[in-house]
Amino acid sequence: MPYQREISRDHKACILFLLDQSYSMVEPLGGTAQRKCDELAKAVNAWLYNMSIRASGNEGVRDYMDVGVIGYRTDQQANPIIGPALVGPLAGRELVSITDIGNHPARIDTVVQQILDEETGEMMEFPSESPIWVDPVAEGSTPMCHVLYHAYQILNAWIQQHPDSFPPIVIHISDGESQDGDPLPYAEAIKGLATSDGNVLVFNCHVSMTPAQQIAFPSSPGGLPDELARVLFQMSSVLPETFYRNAVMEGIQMSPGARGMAFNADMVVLVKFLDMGTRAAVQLR
Amino acid sequence: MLFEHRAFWLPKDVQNPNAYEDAFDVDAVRGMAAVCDGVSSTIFAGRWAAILAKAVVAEPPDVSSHELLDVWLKRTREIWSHSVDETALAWHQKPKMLDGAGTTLLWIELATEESSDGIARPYQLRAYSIGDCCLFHVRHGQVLQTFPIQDSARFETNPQVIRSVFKRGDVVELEAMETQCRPGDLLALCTDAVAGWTMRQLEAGATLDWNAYWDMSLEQWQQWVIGLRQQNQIRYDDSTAVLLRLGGEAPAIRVVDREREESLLDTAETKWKDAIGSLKGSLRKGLRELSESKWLKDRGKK
Repeated sequence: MPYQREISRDHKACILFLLDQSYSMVEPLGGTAQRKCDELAKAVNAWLYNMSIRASGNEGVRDYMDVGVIGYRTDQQANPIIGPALVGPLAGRELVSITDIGNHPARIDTVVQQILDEETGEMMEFPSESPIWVDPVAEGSTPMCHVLYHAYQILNAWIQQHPDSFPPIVIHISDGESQDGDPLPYAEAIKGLATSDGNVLVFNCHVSMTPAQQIAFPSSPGGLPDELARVLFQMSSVLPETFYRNAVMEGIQMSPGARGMAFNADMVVLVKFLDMGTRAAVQLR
Repeated sequence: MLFEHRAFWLPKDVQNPNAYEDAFDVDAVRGMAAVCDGVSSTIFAGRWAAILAKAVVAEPPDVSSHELLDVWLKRTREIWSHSVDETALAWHQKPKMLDGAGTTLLWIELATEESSDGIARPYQLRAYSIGDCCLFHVRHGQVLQTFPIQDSARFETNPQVIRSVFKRGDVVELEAMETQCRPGDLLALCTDAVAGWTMRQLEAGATLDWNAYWDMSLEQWQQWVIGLRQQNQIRYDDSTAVLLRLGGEAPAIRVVDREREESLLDTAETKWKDAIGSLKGSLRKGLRELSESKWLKDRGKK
Protein backbone atom coordinates (compact mmCIF):
# COMPACT_ATOMS: atom_id res chain seq x y z
CA MET A 1 0.00 0.00 0.00
CA PRO A 2 1.51 3.37 -1.00
CA TYR A 3 2.07 6.43 1.21
CA GLN A 4 2.85 4.34 4.30
CA ARG A 5 6.54 5.11 4.75
CA GLU A 6 7.27 6.65 8.12
CA ILE A 7 9.42 9.75 8.07
CA SER A 8 12.85 9.53 9.65
CA ARG A 9 16.43 10.61 9.13
CA ASP A 10 16.91 7.52 6.97
CA HIS A 11 13.74 8.15 4.99
CA LYS A 12 13.36 11.89 4.77
CA ALA A 13 10.31 13.70 3.48
CA CYS A 14 10.50 16.34 0.78
CA ILE A 15 8.16 19.30 0.48
CA LEU A 16 8.56 21.64 -2.49
CA PHE A 17 6.73 24.94 -2.61
CA LEU A 18 6.16 26.66 -5.95
CA LEU A 19 5.19 30.28 -5.37
CA ASP A 20 3.61 32.54 -7.96
CA GLN A 21 5.54 35.85 -7.81
CA SER A 22 3.79 37.50 -10.74
CA TYR A 23 2.75 41.16 -10.56
CA SER A 24 -0.90 40.38 -9.90
CA MET A 25 0.19 39.16 -6.46
CA VAL A 26 0.20 42.80 -5.31
CA GLU A 27 -3.60 42.75 -5.43
CA PRO A 28 -5.39 42.26 -2.14
CA LEU A 29 -6.33 38.78 -0.98
CA GLY A 30 -10.06 38.08 -1.08
CA GLY A 31 -12.00 40.24 1.34
CA THR A 32 -8.94 41.85 2.98
CA ALA A 33 -6.64 44.83 2.49
CA GLN A 34 -3.54 42.63 2.58
CA ARG A 35 -1.55 42.01 -0.59
CA LYS A 36 -1.60 38.42 -1.82
CA CYS A 37 2.22 38.28 -1.97
CA ASP A 38 2.45 39.45 1.67
CA GLU A 39 -0.08 36.90 2.84
CA LEU A 40 1.60 34.15 0.85
CA ALA A 41 5.02 34.95 2.34
CA LYS A 42 3.42 35.08 5.77
CA ALA A 43 1.78 31.66 5.27
CA VAL A 44 4.99 30.03 4.02
CA ASN A 45 7.07 31.58 6.83
CA ALA A 46 4.49 30.35 9.34
CA TRP A 47 4.66 26.85 7.84
CA LEU A 48 8.48 26.83 8.00
CA TYR A 49 8.30 28.14 11.58
CA ASN A 50 5.91 25.38 12.60
CA MET A 51 7.92 22.67 10.87
CA SER A 52 11.15 23.85 12.50
CA ILE A 53 9.50 23.77 15.89
CA ARG A 54 7.95 20.39 15.19
CA ALA A 55 11.35 18.97 14.24
CA SER A 56 13.05 20.67 17.16
CA GLY A 57 14.24 18.40 19.92
CA ASN A 58 16.73 18.26 22.73
CA GLU A 59 19.70 18.46 20.40
CA GLY A 60 18.40 20.97 17.88
CA VAL A 61 16.32 20.56 14.75
CA ARG A 62 16.18 16.94 13.60
CA ASP A 63 16.98 16.37 9.97
CA TYR A 64 13.95 14.49 8.71
CA MET A 65 12.79 16.67 5.84
CA ASP A 66 14.09 18.58 2.85
CA VAL A 67 12.27 21.74 1.89
CA GLY A 68 12.41 23.79 -1.26
CA VAL A 69 10.77 27.14 -1.94
CA ILE A 70 10.87 28.06 -5.63
CA GLY A 71 9.49 31.34 -6.88
CA TYR A 72 8.44 32.03 -10.46
CA ARG A 73 7.80 35.20 -12.44
CA THR A 74 9.14 36.96 -15.55
CA ASP A 75 11.43 39.96 -15.96
CA GLN A 76 10.64 43.07 -17.98
CA GLN A 77 11.66 41.29 -21.18
CA ALA A 78 9.22 38.46 -20.36
CA ASN A 79 12.06 36.04 -19.61
CA PRO A 80 11.13 33.50 -16.96
CA ILE A 81 12.77 33.94 -13.57
CA ILE A 82 12.64 30.58 -11.84
CA GLY A 83 14.67 30.09 -8.70
CA PRO A 84 14.95 29.64 -4.96
CA ALA A 85 12.88 32.12 -2.98
CA LEU A 86 14.68 31.64 0.33
CA VAL A 87 16.55 34.73 1.49
CA GLY A 88 19.40 35.22 3.94
CA PRO A 89 22.03 32.52 4.51
CA LEU A 90 20.01 29.96 2.53
CA ALA A 91 19.56 32.16 -0.55
CA GLY A 92 20.26 30.35 -3.81
CA ARG A 93 19.64 26.84 -2.46
CA GLU A 94 16.84 24.85 -4.04
CA LEU A 95 16.44 22.17 -1.40
CA VAL A 96 17.59 22.55 2.18
CA SER A 97 17.15 20.36 5.23
CA ILE A 98 14.70 21.41 7.88
CA THR A 99 17.75 21.54 10.18
CA ASP A 100 19.23 24.30 8.04
CA ILE A 101 15.85 26.03 7.90
CA GLY A 102 15.69 26.04 11.70
CA ASN A 103 19.27 27.15 12.17
CA HIS A 104 19.49 29.78 9.45
CA PRO A 105 16.51 32.10 9.13
CA ALA A 106 17.25 35.31 7.24
CA ARG A 107 16.34 37.29 10.31
CA ILE A 108 14.32 36.97 13.48
CA ASP A 109 11.68 39.59 14.21
CA THR A 110 10.24 39.97 17.67
CA VAL A 111 6.48 39.99 18.03
CA VAL A 112 4.25 40.14 21.09
CA GLN A 113 1.94 37.19 21.53
CA GLN A 114 -1.05 36.85 23.81
CA ILE A 115 -0.64 33.66 25.78
CA LEU A 116 -2.83 32.03 28.40
CA ASP A 117 -1.23 31.80 31.83
CA GLU A 118 -2.04 28.20 32.71
CA GLU A 119 -1.81 28.81 36.45
CA THR A 120 -4.02 31.92 36.69
CA GLY A 121 -6.14 31.47 33.56
CA GLU A 122 -5.43 35.06 32.48
CA MET A 123 -4.02 36.22 29.16
CA MET A 124 -0.55 37.68 29.30
CA GLU A 125 1.77 39.28 26.76
CA PHE A 126 4.73 37.19 25.80
CA PRO A 127 7.62 38.33 23.56
CA SER A 128 8.00 35.79 20.80
CA GLU A 129 10.61 35.33 18.10
CA SER A 130 9.30 35.31 14.55
CA PRO A 131 11.89 34.08 12.03
CA ILE A 132 11.71 35.02 8.34
CA TRP A 133 12.91 32.95 5.39
CA VAL A 134 10.80 34.26 2.51
CA ASP A 135 10.05 37.86 1.51
CA PRO A 136 7.15 38.93 -0.73
CA VAL A 137 7.92 39.39 -4.43
CA ALA A 138 5.57 40.52 -7.24
CA GLU A 139 6.79 41.09 -10.77
CA GLY A 140 6.00 40.13 -14.36
CA SER A 141 3.76 37.28 -15.47
CA THR A 142 3.13 33.62 -14.63
CA PRO A 143 5.51 31.13 -16.33
CA MET A 144 3.82 28.11 -14.78
CA CYS A 145 5.10 25.52 -17.27
CA HIS A 146 8.67 26.63 -16.67
CA VAL A 147 8.41 26.25 -12.91
CA LEU A 148 6.75 22.84 -13.20
CA TYR A 149 9.55 21.65 -15.47
CA HIS A 150 12.10 23.01 -12.99
CA ALA A 151 10.32 21.21 -10.15
CA TYR A 152 10.41 17.98 -12.16
CA GLN A 153 14.20 18.21 -12.42
CA ILE A 154 14.67 18.95 -8.72
CA LEU A 155 12.43 16.08 -7.65
CA ASN A 156 13.82 13.61 -10.15
CA ALA A 157 17.28 14.17 -8.67
CA TRP A 158 15.96 13.95 -5.09
CA ILE A 159 14.21 10.66 -5.78
CA GLN A 160 17.43 9.15 -7.13
CA GLN A 161 18.95 9.81 -3.72
CA HIS A 162 15.88 8.79 -1.70
CA PRO A 163 14.24 5.96 -3.65
CA ASP A 164 12.43 4.48 -0.64
CA SER A 165 11.22 7.65 1.05
CA PHE A 166 7.69 8.93 1.34
CA PRO A 167 7.20 10.56 -2.08
CA PRO A 168 7.77 14.31 -2.39
CA ILE A 169 4.84 16.68 -2.07
CA VAL A 170 4.57 19.73 -4.31
CA ILE A 171 2.55 22.66 -3.01
CA HIS A 172 1.85 25.06 -5.84
CA ILE A 173 0.28 28.40 -4.98
CA SER A 174 -0.85 30.76 -7.73
CA ASP A 175 -3.42 33.46 -8.38
CA GLY A 176 -3.99 32.89 -12.06
CA GLU A 177 -3.58 30.86 -15.17
CA SER A 178 -0.39 29.83 -16.87
CA GLN A 179 1.01 32.34 -19.33
CA ASP A 180 3.54 30.08 -21.00
CA GLY A 181 1.37 27.21 -22.22
CA ASP A 182 -0.70 24.30 -20.99
CA PRO A 183 0.66 23.29 -17.56
CA LEU A 184 -1.18 19.97 -17.43
CA PRO A 185 1.45 17.80 -19.21
CA TYR A 186 4.13 19.24 -16.93
CA ALA A 187 2.08 18.49 -13.83
CA GLU A 188 1.40 14.97 -15.13
CA ALA A 189 5.13 14.43 -15.61
CA ILE A 190 5.77 15.37 -11.99
CA LYS A 191 2.96 13.12 -10.80
CA GLY A 192 4.58 10.34 -12.83
CA LEU A 193 7.71 10.48 -10.68
CA ALA A 194 7.66 7.95 -7.85
CA THR A 195 9.54 6.43 -4.96
CA SER A 196 8.90 2.85 -3.86
CA ASP A 197 6.24 4.32 -1.57
CA GLY A 198 4.12 6.00 -4.23
CA ASN A 199 3.92 8.76 -6.79
CA VAL A 200 4.82 12.37 -6.21
CA LEU A 201 1.83 14.35 -4.96
CA VAL A 202 0.96 17.68 -6.56
CA PHE A 203 -1.39 19.97 -4.69
CA ASN A 204 -2.58 23.29 -6.14
CA CYS A 205 -3.93 26.27 -4.27
CA HIS A 206 -5.47 29.20 -6.14
CA VAL A 207 -5.64 32.46 -4.17
CA SER A 208 -8.14 35.08 -5.24
CA MET A 209 -8.65 38.82 -5.09
CA THR A 210 -12.42 38.48 -5.02
CA PRO A 211 -14.23 36.94 -2.07
CA ALA A 212 -15.92 34.44 -4.37
CA GLN A 213 -17.12 30.99 -3.42
CA GLN A 214 -14.24 29.02 -1.99
CA ILE A 215 -13.71 25.44 -3.04
CA ALA A 216 -11.41 23.10 -1.13
CA PHE A 217 -10.57 19.47 -1.84
CA PRO A 218 -13.19 18.80 -4.55
CA SER A 219 -13.70 15.20 -5.66
CA SER A 220 -15.07 15.96 -9.14
CA PRO A 221 -14.74 18.77 -11.69
CA GLY A 222 -18.50 19.21 -11.76
CA GLY A 223 -19.43 22.49 -10.10
CA LEU A 224 -16.04 24.11 -10.66
CA PRO A 225 -16.67 27.66 -11.90
CA ASP A 226 -14.33 28.02 -14.89
CA GLU A 227 -11.64 26.50 -17.06
CA LEU A 228 -8.80 27.60 -14.76
CA ALA A 229 -10.37 25.70 -11.88
CA ARG A 230 -10.87 22.62 -14.05
CA VAL A 231 -7.21 22.70 -15.16
CA LEU A 232 -6.03 23.00 -11.56
CA PHE A 233 -8.31 20.09 -10.67
CA GLN A 234 -6.72 17.91 -13.32
CA MET A 235 -3.23 18.98 -12.24
CA SER A 236 -3.92 17.97 -8.63
CA SER A 237 -3.34 14.54 -7.11
CA VAL A 238 -6.05 12.55 -5.40
CA LEU A 239 -5.47 12.73 -1.65
CA PRO A 240 -3.99 9.45 -0.37
CA GLU A 241 -6.04 7.53 2.17
CA THR A 242 -3.97 8.74 5.14
CA PHE A 243 -4.44 12.40 4.15
CA TYR A 244 -8.14 11.88 3.55
CA ARG A 245 -8.63 10.11 6.89
CA ASN A 246 -6.77 12.84 8.79
CA ALA A 247 -8.82 15.57 7.15
CA VAL A 248 -12.15 13.87 7.79
CA MET A 249 -11.17 13.21 11.41
CA GLU A 250 -10.54 16.92 11.80
CA GLY A 251 -14.00 17.71 10.52
CA ILE A 252 -13.04 18.91 7.04
CA GLN A 253 -15.84 18.23 4.59
CA MET A 254 -14.69 16.09 1.69
CA SER A 255 -15.66 13.02 -0.28
CA PRO A 256 -13.63 9.97 -1.27
CA GLY A 257 -11.51 10.81 -4.29
CA ALA A 258 -10.96 14.36 -3.04
CA ARG A 259 -8.08 16.14 -4.74
CA GLY A 260 -5.41 18.34 -3.21
CA MET A 261 -6.80 21.54 -4.62
CA ALA A 262 -8.26 24.80 -3.31
CA PHE A 263 -9.84 27.52 -5.41
CA ASN A 264 -10.50 31.15 -4.47
CA ALA A 265 -8.70 30.52 -1.20
CA ASP A 266 -8.40 33.22 1.43
CA MET A 267 -5.74 33.21 4.16
CA VAL A 268 -7.68 30.78 6.36
CA VAL A 269 -8.12 28.26 3.55
CA LEU A 270 -4.51 28.75 2.42
CA VAL A 271 -3.11 27.95 5.87
CA LYS A 272 -5.44 24.99 6.26
CA PHE A 273 -4.44 23.79 2.80
CA LEU A 274 -0.74 23.91 3.67
CA ASP A 275 -1.40 22.11 6.91
CA MET A 276 -3.58 19.35 5.47
CA GLY A 277 -1.43 18.94 2.38
CA THR A 278 1.67 18.17 4.38
CA ARG A 279 0.31 16.75 7.63
CA ALA A 280 0.61 13.04 6.90
CA ALA A 281 4.14 13.47 5.61
CA VAL A 282 5.40 15.37 8.64
CA GLN A 283 3.84 13.28 11.36
CA LEU A 284 6.30 12.61 14.10
CA ARG A 285 5.60 10.75 17.28
CA MET B 1 11.84 -11.30 43.79
CA LEU B 2 8.38 -11.51 42.37
CA PHE B 3 9.57 -11.93 38.82
CA GLU B 4 12.51 -12.23 36.50
CA HIS B 5 12.65 -9.73 33.70
CA ARG B 6 14.15 -9.08 30.29
CA ALA B 7 14.21 -5.60 28.74
CA PHE B 8 14.50 -5.06 25.00
CA TRP B 9 14.76 -1.71 23.30
CA LEU B 10 15.75 -0.22 19.97
CA PRO B 11 15.89 3.48 19.08
CA LYS B 12 13.98 4.73 16.07
CA ASP B 13 17.24 6.00 14.64
CA VAL B 14 19.68 3.15 15.12
CA GLN B 15 22.62 5.47 14.43
CA ASN B 16 21.54 7.86 17.14
CA PRO B 17 20.68 5.97 20.34
CA ASN B 18 20.69 9.25 22.29
CA ALA B 19 17.45 10.09 20.50
CA TYR B 20 15.70 7.07 22.08
CA GLU B 21 12.62 8.52 23.80
CA ASP B 22 10.96 5.43 25.23
CA ALA B 23 11.78 4.57 28.82
CA PHE B 24 11.27 1.72 31.25
CA ASP B 25 11.99 0.87 34.86
CA VAL B 26 11.61 -2.29 36.90
CA ASP B 27 11.70 -3.20 40.60
CA ALA B 28 11.38 -6.99 40.81
CA VAL B 29 11.50 -7.04 44.62
CA ARG B 30 8.52 -4.70 45.02
CA GLY B 31 6.71 -6.07 41.97
CA MET B 32 6.74 -2.85 39.96
CA ALA B 33 7.40 -2.18 36.29
CA ALA B 34 6.67 0.69 33.90
CA VAL B 35 7.13 1.66 30.26
CA CYS B 36 6.74 5.09 28.70
CA ASP B 37 6.78 6.39 25.13
CA GLY B 38 7.89 10.01 24.86
CA VAL B 39 6.23 11.98 22.07
CA SER B 40 8.99 12.87 19.61
CA SER B 41 7.35 16.07 18.46
CA THR B 42 7.55 17.47 22.01
CA ILE B 43 10.73 18.70 23.64
CA PHE B 44 12.85 16.74 26.11
CA ALA B 45 10.33 13.92 25.77
CA GLY B 46 12.85 11.16 26.44
CA ARG B 47 13.87 12.85 29.66
CA TRP B 48 10.23 13.20 30.74
CA ALA B 49 9.52 9.56 29.88
CA ALA B 50 12.52 8.43 31.94
CA ILE B 51 11.57 10.64 34.90
CA LEU B 52 7.99 9.38 34.86
CA ALA B 53 8.92 5.69 34.55
CA LYS B 54 11.40 5.98 37.40
CA ALA B 55 8.99 7.95 39.59
CA VAL B 56 6.08 5.60 39.14
CA VAL B 57 8.20 2.54 40.00
CA ALA B 58 9.90 4.23 42.97
CA GLU B 59 6.70 5.67 44.41
CA PRO B 60 3.50 5.03 42.48
CA PRO B 61 0.81 7.71 42.77
CA ASP B 62 -2.31 7.21 44.79
CA VAL B 63 -4.84 6.99 41.98
CA SER B 64 -7.88 6.98 44.25
CA SER B 65 -8.44 10.70 43.67
CA HIS B 66 -7.52 13.32 41.10
CA GLU B 67 -6.21 15.58 43.88
CA LEU B 68 -3.68 13.01 45.09
CA LEU B 69 -2.65 12.21 41.55
CA ASP B 70 -2.19 15.93 40.83
CA VAL B 71 0.08 16.33 43.86
CA TRP B 72 2.23 13.44 42.67
CA LEU B 73 2.30 14.83 39.13
CA LYS B 74 3.25 18.32 40.28
CA ARG B 75 6.23 16.93 42.17
CA THR B 76 7.30 14.83 39.18
CA ARG B 77 6.87 17.72 36.73
CA GLU B 78 9.16 19.86 38.85
CA ILE B 79 11.95 17.32 38.38
CA TRP B 80 11.56 17.74 34.61
CA SER B 81 11.38 21.54 34.62
CA HIS B 82 14.40 21.84 36.91
CA SER B 83 16.36 19.65 34.50
CA VAL B 84 16.02 22.18 31.64
CA ASP B 85 18.19 25.27 31.33
CA GLU B 86 15.78 27.56 29.46
CA THR B 87 18.39 30.27 28.98
CA ALA B 88 20.34 27.96 26.67
CA LEU B 89 17.45 27.15 24.33
CA ALA B 90 17.32 28.10 20.63
CA TRP B 91 14.40 30.07 19.16
CA HIS B 92 12.74 26.90 17.90
CA GLN B 93 12.96 25.21 21.30
CA LYS B 94 11.50 28.01 23.40
CA PRO B 95 7.89 27.81 22.10
CA LYS B 96 7.88 24.08 22.76
CA MET B 97 8.53 24.63 26.45
CA LEU B 98 5.05 26.13 26.77
CA ASP B 99 3.52 22.75 25.92
CA GLY B 100 6.26 20.74 27.58
CA ALA B 101 7.00 17.12 26.85
CA GLY B 102 4.40 14.41 26.45
CA THR B 103 4.55 10.71 27.14
CA THR B 104 2.31 7.71 27.33
CA LEU B 105 2.60 5.55 30.44
CA LEU B 106 1.81 1.98 31.48
CA TRP B 107 2.70 0.53 34.85
CA ILE B 108 1.92 -2.60 36.80
CA GLU B 109 1.89 -3.43 40.48
CA LEU B 110 2.14 -7.07 41.55
CA ALA B 111 1.47 -8.46 45.01
CA THR B 112 1.39 -11.97 46.41
CA GLU B 113 1.12 -13.71 49.77
CA GLU B 114 4.16 -15.30 51.31
CA SER B 115 4.25 -19.03 50.58
CA SER B 116 5.56 -21.15 53.41
CA ASP B 117 4.14 -24.47 52.30
CA GLY B 118 5.60 -24.67 48.80
CA ILE B 119 2.18 -24.25 47.23
CA ALA B 120 2.05 -21.50 44.63
CA ARG B 121 -0.23 -18.58 45.39
CA PRO B 122 -1.86 -16.39 42.72
CA TYR B 123 -0.50 -12.92 42.18
CA GLN B 124 -2.72 -9.88 42.35
CA LEU B 125 -2.00 -7.69 39.33
CA ARG B 126 -3.01 -4.07 39.00
CA ALA B 127 -2.23 -2.17 35.80
CA TYR B 128 -2.69 1.49 34.95
CA SER B 129 -2.33 3.23 31.63
CA ILE B 130 -2.67 6.45 29.75
CA GLY B 131 -2.09 6.24 26.01
CA ASP B 132 -1.16 3.34 23.80
CA CYS B 133 1.49 1.34 25.61
CA CYS B 134 0.05 -2.14 26.03
CA LEU B 135 0.25 -5.06 28.45
CA PHE B 136 0.01 -8.65 27.22
CA HIS B 137 -0.80 -11.28 29.85
CA VAL B 138 0.43 -14.66 28.63
CA ARG B 139 -0.08 -18.13 30.11
CA HIS B 140 1.25 -21.31 28.54
CA GLY B 141 2.04 -19.34 25.39
CA GLN B 142 -1.52 -18.05 25.02
CA VAL B 143 -2.46 -14.40 25.45
CA LEU B 144 -5.17 -14.29 28.14
CA GLN B 145 -5.80 -10.58 27.93
CA THR B 146 -4.40 -7.29 26.75
CA PHE B 147 -4.62 -3.92 28.46
CA PRO B 148 -5.69 -1.21 27.76
CA ILE B 149 -5.93 -1.93 24.04
CA GLN B 150 -7.88 -4.76 22.49
CA ASP B 151 -7.99 -3.58 18.88
CA SER B 152 -4.98 -2.74 16.70
CA ALA B 153 -6.93 0.12 15.07
CA ARG B 154 -6.40 2.12 18.25
CA PHE B 155 -2.69 2.32 17.47
CA GLU B 156 -3.57 4.41 14.41
CA THR B 157 -4.98 7.28 16.46
CA ASN B 158 -3.12 9.88 18.48
CA PRO B 159 -2.88 8.62 22.05
CA GLN B 160 -3.58 10.51 25.22
CA VAL B 161 -0.41 11.61 26.97
CA ILE B 162 0.77 13.03 30.27
CA ARG B 163 2.43 16.38 29.84
CA SER B 164 5.44 17.62 31.75
CA VAL B 165 3.69 20.95 32.29
CA PHE B 166 0.31 21.77 33.74
CA LYS B 167 -2.23 22.80 31.09
CA ARG B 168 -5.71 23.97 31.80
CA GLY B 169 -8.21 21.55 30.39
CA ASP B 170 -5.81 18.60 30.48
CA VAL B 171 -7.34 15.77 32.45
CA VAL B 172 -5.18 12.78 33.26
CA GLU B 173 -7.63 9.90 32.88
CA LEU B 174 -5.93 6.65 33.80
CA GLU B 175 -7.37 3.37 32.62
CA ALA B 176 -7.11 0.65 35.26
CA MET B 177 -7.30 -3.14 35.32
CA GLU B 178 -7.07 -5.74 38.06
CA THR B 179 -6.68 -9.48 37.67
CA GLN B 180 -4.93 -12.54 39.05
CA CYS B 181 -1.81 -14.12 37.65
CA ARG B 182 -0.17 -17.44 38.34
CA PRO B 183 3.47 -18.31 38.79
CA GLY B 184 4.87 -18.92 35.36
CA ASP B 185 2.68 -16.32 33.68
CA LEU B 186 4.44 -13.89 31.39
CA LEU B 187 3.66 -10.16 31.34
CA ALA B 188 4.85 -8.14 28.36
CA LEU B 189 4.83 -4.34 28.67
CA CYS B 190 5.30 -2.83 25.21
CA THR B 191 5.37 0.63 23.69
CA ASP B 192 3.14 1.19 20.69
CA ALA B 193 5.34 -0.03 17.83
CA VAL B 194 5.90 -3.48 19.34
CA ALA B 195 2.40 -3.59 20.82
CA GLY B 196 0.80 -2.74 17.48
CA TRP B 197 2.77 -5.45 15.68
CA THR B 198 1.91 -8.00 18.38
CA MET B 199 -1.77 -7.11 18.33
CA ARG B 200 -1.94 -7.44 14.54
CA GLN B 201 -0.28 -10.87 14.77
CA LEU B 202 -2.84 -12.00 17.33
CA GLU B 203 -5.71 -10.64 15.24
CA ALA B 204 -4.38 -12.56 12.25
CA GLY B 205 -4.43 -15.76 14.31
CA ALA B 206 -0.64 -16.12 14.44
CA THR B 207 0.94 -18.10 17.26
CA LEU B 208 3.69 -16.14 18.98
CA ASP B 209 6.63 -17.96 20.53
CA TRP B 210 6.96 -15.97 23.73
CA ASN B 211 9.66 -18.31 25.05
CA ALA B 212 11.78 -17.51 22.02
CA TYR B 213 11.46 -13.76 22.69
CA TRP B 214 12.50 -14.37 26.29
CA ASP B 215 15.56 -16.29 25.22
CA MET B 216 16.78 -13.68 22.72
CA SER B 217 19.81 -11.57 23.48
CA LEU B 218 19.24 -7.83 23.21
CA GLU B 219 21.21 -7.79 19.96
CA GLN B 220 19.13 -10.62 18.47
CA TRP B 221 15.94 -8.84 19.41
CA GLN B 222 17.17 -5.58 17.88
CA GLN B 223 18.08 -7.34 14.64
CA TRP B 224 14.66 -8.97 14.58
CA VAL B 225 12.93 -5.58 14.94
CA ILE B 226 15.19 -4.03 12.29
CA GLY B 227 14.10 -6.86 9.99
CA LEU B 228 10.44 -6.13 10.70
CA ARG B 229 11.08 -2.46 9.92
CA GLN B 230 12.68 -3.33 6.62
CA GLN B 231 9.62 -5.39 5.72
CA ASN B 232 7.32 -2.52 6.76
CA GLN B 233 5.69 -4.81 9.30
CA ILE B 234 6.33 -2.63 12.32
CA ARG B 235 6.01 1.07 12.88
CA TYR B 236 9.30 2.89 12.38
CA ASP B 237 9.53 4.17 15.92
CA ASP B 238 11.39 3.70 19.18
CA SER B 239 10.62 0.12 20.18
CA THR B 240 10.52 -1.29 23.69
CA ALA B 241 9.34 -4.51 25.31
CA VAL B 242 9.81 -5.44 28.97
CA LEU B 243 9.04 -9.08 29.72
CA LEU B 244 8.29 -10.23 33.27
CA ARG B 245 8.20 -13.90 34.15
CA LEU B 246 6.32 -14.41 37.40
CA GLY B 247 7.59 -16.83 40.00
CA GLY B 248 10.96 -15.39 40.81
CA GLU B 249 13.80 -17.68 40.02
CA ALA B 250 11.58 -20.66 39.26
CA PRO B 251 11.55 -20.81 35.45
CA ALA B 252 7.92 -21.85 35.51
CA ILE B 253 7.24 -20.87 31.92
CA ARG B 254 9.21 -23.87 30.60
CA VAL B 255 7.24 -26.98 29.72
CA VAL B 256 8.95 -29.04 32.37
CA ASP B 257 8.28 -26.35 34.98
CA ARG B 258 4.71 -25.92 33.85
CA GLU B 259 4.25 -29.62 34.55
CA ARG B 260 5.75 -29.13 37.97
CA GLU B 261 3.44 -26.21 38.59
CA GLU B 262 0.42 -28.25 37.50
CA SER B 263 1.60 -31.11 39.68
CA LEU B 264 1.87 -28.79 42.68
CA LEU B 265 -1.59 -27.41 42.03
CA ASP B 266 -2.96 -30.95 41.65
CA THR B 267 -1.30 -31.96 44.92
CA ALA B 268 -2.78 -28.92 46.62
CA GLU B 269 -6.21 -29.73 45.25
CA THR B 270 -5.96 -33.37 46.36
CA LYS B 271 -4.81 -32.35 49.83
CA TRP B 272 -7.61 -29.84 50.06
CA LYS B 273 -10.21 -32.46 48.98
CA ASP B 274 -8.74 -34.99 51.40
CA ALA B 275 -8.91 -32.43 54.18
CA ILE B 276 -12.55 -31.64 53.38
CA GLY B 277 -13.34 -35.37 53.17
CA SER B 278 -11.64 -35.97 56.46
CA LEU B 279 -13.50 -33.06 58.06
CA LYS B 280 -16.83 -34.36 56.74
CA GLY B 281 -16.02 -37.83 58.18
CA SER B 282 -15.19 -36.34 61.55
CA LEU B 283 -18.38 -34.32 61.56
CA ARG B 284 -20.51 -37.35 60.62
CA LYS B 285 -18.86 -39.43 63.37
CA GLY B 286 -19.36 -36.64 65.91
CA LEU B 287 -23.01 -36.24 64.99
CA ARG B 288 -23.58 -39.98 65.19
CA GLU B 289 -21.96 -40.17 68.62
CA LEU B 290 -23.95 -37.16 69.75
CA SER B 291 -27.25 -38.62 68.57
CA GLU B 292 -26.49 -41.85 70.41
CA SER B 293 -25.23 -40.17 73.53
CA LYS B 294 -26.95 -40.72 76.89
CA TRP B 295 -27.00 -36.94 77.50
CA LEU B 296 -29.09 -36.24 74.39
CA LYS B 297 -31.50 -39.14 75.16
CA ASP B 298 -31.94 -37.86 78.74
CA ARG B 299 -32.47 -34.32 77.44
CA GLY B 300 -35.12 -35.61 74.99
CA LYS B 301 -37.06 -37.29 77.84
CA LYS B 302 -37.26 -33.97 79.70
